Amino acid sequence: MQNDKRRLITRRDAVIFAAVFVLAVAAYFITRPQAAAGAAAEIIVDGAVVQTVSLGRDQVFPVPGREEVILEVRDGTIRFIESSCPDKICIKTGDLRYGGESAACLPNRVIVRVVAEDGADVVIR
Amino acid sequence: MKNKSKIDVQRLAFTALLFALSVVLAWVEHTLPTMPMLPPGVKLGLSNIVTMYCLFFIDRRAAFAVAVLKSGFVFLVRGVTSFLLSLAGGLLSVLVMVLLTLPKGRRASYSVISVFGAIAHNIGQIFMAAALLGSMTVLTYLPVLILSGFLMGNVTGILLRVTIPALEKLKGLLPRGLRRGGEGGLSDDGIAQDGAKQEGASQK
Repeated sequence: MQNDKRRLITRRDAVIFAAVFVLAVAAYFITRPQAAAGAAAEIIVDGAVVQTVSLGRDQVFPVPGREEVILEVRDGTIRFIESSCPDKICIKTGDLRYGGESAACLPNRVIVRVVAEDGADVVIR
Repeated sequence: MKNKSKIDVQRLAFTALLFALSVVLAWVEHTLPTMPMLPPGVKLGLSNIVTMYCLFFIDRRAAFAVAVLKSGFVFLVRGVTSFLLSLAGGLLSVLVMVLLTLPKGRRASYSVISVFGAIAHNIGQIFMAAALLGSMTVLTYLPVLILSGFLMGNVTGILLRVTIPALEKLKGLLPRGLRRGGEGGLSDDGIAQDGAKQEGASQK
């Protein structure tokens, strides 16, 4: 192992990379939330849905049981606007609009997930 | 024989130095502006360069040690959630990279090891995230994370190849024991192992 002479990349590796890349892109497009605007959002705390809010009515409200996390519904979208977590990834995720889209705040164990009009999580066209 | 029970101080010092380097790289990465096109939370994984260096030029134990120490540092500065994510990603990443270095005949290239290490890191993290959140919802990010792992793994693989000479210089700053006798600077061969042997010999 210490006698380490490796190539940066070989032809065989390029083939492996191409396969991985194609599979990942395919998986991305298959699982991607489709353009069906969501009607409501589920707020999941510690793995359980604690609240379902309509995206039709604009409001700013704290997450039940996690008062330091504030959500905002505006123009049919929902987003984290405040959180006590250190990295603010939940806030950076930004607006969620379409069925299947989600944002999570890990330190607070909160997920917001948009559910589509007909109740399905993801609408595939 | 007697040496076996002794702690190899130079090896310890060098591993510690590399760990410090991985912390600095993580900090550098943290100060970089986030790339607007990338999904939130996606990082370059610069400190993975150090883990890979440990794996290639010291040994597996050192690579695992640096990964675990790095998670310990994350625990101190960012708390338990980040620690668990870091640990899951770090350990799975090193494990996959170790497995890729095992075949002796056909050597996996730096890029392949780096890319699969990065993807494994992201997979480890997202499953830990799912466990913490108690929900499989976040697994929908998996394809995005695999793609970003692919991208970042390529970047860090190239960076490793580019920085090997610099890291060799770092090793050169240490006392002779870790160095290969009479050999200076850039070399791809036997540094740590030969050094350790010399050390053993000099101590009888």
